[in-house]
This record gives sequence, structure tokens and C-alpha cells, in this order.
Amino acid sequence: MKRLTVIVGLVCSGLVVLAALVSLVWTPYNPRRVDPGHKYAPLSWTHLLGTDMQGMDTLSRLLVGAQTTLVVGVLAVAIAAIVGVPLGIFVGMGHRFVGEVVARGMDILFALPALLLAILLAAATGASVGTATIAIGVSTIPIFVRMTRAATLTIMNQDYILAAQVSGTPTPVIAVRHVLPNIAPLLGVQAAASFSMAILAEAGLSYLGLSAPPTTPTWGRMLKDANIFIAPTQAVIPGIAIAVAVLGFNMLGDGLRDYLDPRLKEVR
Amino acid sequence: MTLLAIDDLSVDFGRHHRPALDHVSLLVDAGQRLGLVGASGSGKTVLASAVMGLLPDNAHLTGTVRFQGRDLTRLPDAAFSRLRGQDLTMVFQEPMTALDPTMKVGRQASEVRRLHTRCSAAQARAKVDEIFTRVGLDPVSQIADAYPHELSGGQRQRVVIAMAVMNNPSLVICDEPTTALDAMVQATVLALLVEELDRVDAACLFISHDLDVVSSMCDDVAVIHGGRIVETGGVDEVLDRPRHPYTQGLVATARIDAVGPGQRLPVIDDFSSTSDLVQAASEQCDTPAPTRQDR
Repeated sequence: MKRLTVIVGLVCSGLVVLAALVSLVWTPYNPRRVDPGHKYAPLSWTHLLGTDMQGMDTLSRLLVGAQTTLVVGVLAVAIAAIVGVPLGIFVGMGHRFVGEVVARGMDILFALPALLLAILLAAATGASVGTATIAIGVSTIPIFVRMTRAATLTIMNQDYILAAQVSGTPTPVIAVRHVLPNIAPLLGVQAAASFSMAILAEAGLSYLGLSAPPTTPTWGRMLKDANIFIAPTQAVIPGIAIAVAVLGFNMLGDGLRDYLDPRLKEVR
Repeated sequence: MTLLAIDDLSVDFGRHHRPALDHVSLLVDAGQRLGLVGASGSGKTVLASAVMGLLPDNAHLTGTVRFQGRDLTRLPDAAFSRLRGQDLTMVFQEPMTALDPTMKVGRQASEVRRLHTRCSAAQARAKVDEIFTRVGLDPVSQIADAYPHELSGGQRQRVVIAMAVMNNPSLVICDEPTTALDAMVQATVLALLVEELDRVDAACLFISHDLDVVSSMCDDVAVIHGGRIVETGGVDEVLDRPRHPYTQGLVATARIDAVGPGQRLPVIDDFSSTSDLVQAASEQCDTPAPTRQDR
């Protein structure tokens, strides 16, 4: 059962990565070529997934859209982890009072959803993939801080941290050599989960026009542009793509947790 | 020469000042092996933590802990860090949890070396190989490359002992180092510990609740009960002719072979109600409830 989760997760997320890689070297048509003569073409051998209202090839746009999806996901999780993990370890190892203050600060940041932040940034600098990424990344920071802090607090009670202190190891060295490796499995799982959340959030922001400009094909924008009455398949296709990506990375994270659980490590 | 002088040390915890150590005074001479005996919760581990400067934030400490003439309770963190792992080291009770599960034991040991000695990674590694061989970890290269969970309990404790004596400390605090091991392994690990302590000429504060182990390991013994030192003296003297009723009970309850089949095992309370003197002493002993559990 666990292995099935990992396999399905790997296949789904692998498909998304494959689509993005293929689109770098080949797409059936230019994903930005407008062809009014062939708008709303049905699924056929010439246009495998049909065309949209401007006659642009859906398969080509789907493949290129995977790029945006992955880039936003990776960068957003990177922002959250780069800020959140060191901060979480710092407050976890530091004085209790500092920890409480930061934790409450993070609770306040929790109240700011990615959407609100994205609207704010879009209003200030104009909507782009960058603003969407920052908005998603920043709103994911509290999750990372909270989880890293909780994990650090449990690790700090372990004898080997005491032993490291007893050996005169400086606190920053303890943080990097002893705390970080021991919470890494948890962070990996959190990263995978946040990654799928980021993909979904990016699709949502694109749908609202708060992400990539209209010239960049993204799954969220494809969903938005589809006319559900004239060509319902054009809405279903990007929807399936988003579902596969989110499901894939979620299941991959789940499987990863079972595989990396430190409690199972001793048995292996 | 006095190495460690604990003078009038009291420790309590939390906002309500729950006492854990009550005006404890204790001397350890250079090269001396002092056993510290007491029940769970009597304050043994708190005493060790106080000496190592590892009390939690909510602990309040009064009195002095002088080590090589310096008062540890007032030592700045940086100076204390240099001292710990160099002159003052510790062997933990549970070797599985005292080693980082994500780091190879050879690397953990060489890190202890490199923190306190200017040397290259290769030099540190050579030193680790030397010490690992000395403590009987064989084959060295294979064990140094293993993670803690791949070693047996005895091997892990050998690694911990190797790390404790690596920098030629002058005092090693052992917090029930053999409690987690079976009787056979316990004997060999204790013999190894004695040998290594003698080799580096280190004093030892040996915390235990096992009177047999203490009598075989230590020159002197201190009995702690309810956060107070109730009796100190030479091992033979204290264990053969205990003066304090708590010690009398401790010694008598340890003699399981004196109890015939079907007879009730003696408990400490039996000795607290035999005379008025004992009664008074035990009341005195029982008042401060020990707060922090011994690990």
C-alpha cells in the first residue's frame, strides 16, 4: 500500500516534470500562435487535445504550462524553506521568550493568505510570475517556521544534543551538524506537501489573472479562458493536469514520509 | 589536591522554587573516584547537570562549584564551552540516545577532538582510530564508518567512553553508564572505564544506584537522599558500617541473598521506623520532594 502511494506519486509528478522537459525542446505547435481559422477545434490527430478560443494548440500550451507550474512551485518552496527553516531552528534552540514572540508573529502572518499578498504585490508592481511566487512563498513561511520549531524543540531534549553541548560544541555547529540532519526527513515531507499547495495556489492566482501575463501559457489561465459552454473539454484538460500534479506531489510526500521516518530507520 | 569543590550548592526549579538540591557540599580530589549513590529522584542527575552547567532555564542555583579553582557557576559560556569536552567530560546513561543517529560514530568522535585541539581532519581521524582500538572496538575502520544504530549497546558505550577520555580530561562525570547494559557487558565496560580513567589519570564522579558497581569502582562514596548528602566516606567504611538510617536501609535492601524463600524483601521504610533517632532523621530527609526525574 505504501509502495503503491510512492509509485503513483512518482508517476504523476514524473509526468509533470517530463511535460516541462519535453516542452523545452519540442511542442507540436508554437504555443503562442493564434489561428482564428481553427478555434475550438475538437480532439483530433492534427490537434491531439484540440484548440482554444484563439485557435492555439492546447497540448502545446499544456506542456509549456508545466514549466511555469514547476518553477513557481520550486521557487515558492525555496523561499519558504530558506527563510523558515533557519528561523525555526533559531527560535527552537534559543530562549523560550524569543520563541514565543516569533511564534505569535508567525500566527499573524498565517492570517495573511497568499491571495491577499498576491493582490497587494500585483497592485504595487504589476502581476507577474515573480509576484505570484513571492506571495505564495511568503505565505508558506509560517508553516515552515512552526514545523521546524516544533521539530527542533523535540530534538533539543535528546541526549546527543546534551552530549554535544557537554563536548563544548558551539551552538551554531550543533544547529547545522546535529539538529538539521535530524529534522531533515520532516522538512522533506513538508517541502513536498507545500510544493503541491504552491502548484494549486499558482493555478488559482493565474485563474484570477494575478500571475503570469496573458502571453505566458499557464494551467490556471487556460482554465480561465476556456468557455465551458462551447468547448467543455478545454476546461477539463488543464483541470486534470492540475489535479495530477497536486495529487502526484502530495502522494510523493506521503510516501517519502514513510520512507524517511527516523523511527523506521533503526529497523531497516 | 582538590579538583572539584562543590560548596553549599542549592538548586530549585520553576516559579514555585521546588527544591532539587539542598545545601550540597562535596569534594573530589584529582584522580579520585567518588561514587554518588541515591534513589531515583534524589537529585543525582541534577547535581551532574549543575556541575556541567546544563541546568534548564527555569533552574535557580546558589552556592559555588569550583573546578580547578574556577567557579563554574559564574564562568562565561565561551570559557565553559572550552572547558567542557576538554577537562570536564561526561558519560551518559543511555548510549543509544547519547550519539547522534544521523552521524557516523567516527566522525562524531573526531569532531570532539577537533573542537579542542588544533589538528587536521586526518590527524583527528588517526587519534580516533587509536582510541577506538584502545577501547576494544574492532575492526576500527568498520566501526568508525557505522551509524550508532548499527552497533551493539556495549559497542556504543565504548564509543561514548572513547569520546569522553579522548582529550585527556581531569574529571569524567559518569551518569549511570552501565544501567542500560546487561550484566556481562556491564562488567567489561566498567573494567574498560577504570582502565581508561587510570590511563589518563582522571578523577571520576560516578553516579549510580547500584551499590555493587560503586563498591567495585570507587574509592569513596557519597549518599544522596532527598537532595541532601546524608553520608560520605570510604566505600568499605560506608557500605560495611552505614551510620545514616537511609544508608542502612539502602545497604540492607541491596542484600537480596540474605532473604530466604517466602520471606518479604526489606524496604527502605523498614529502617526508618526502628528507632526515634531514625524517625527524626527520616522526617528530615523526606521533606523536600525531589522534583526532576532522573533520566
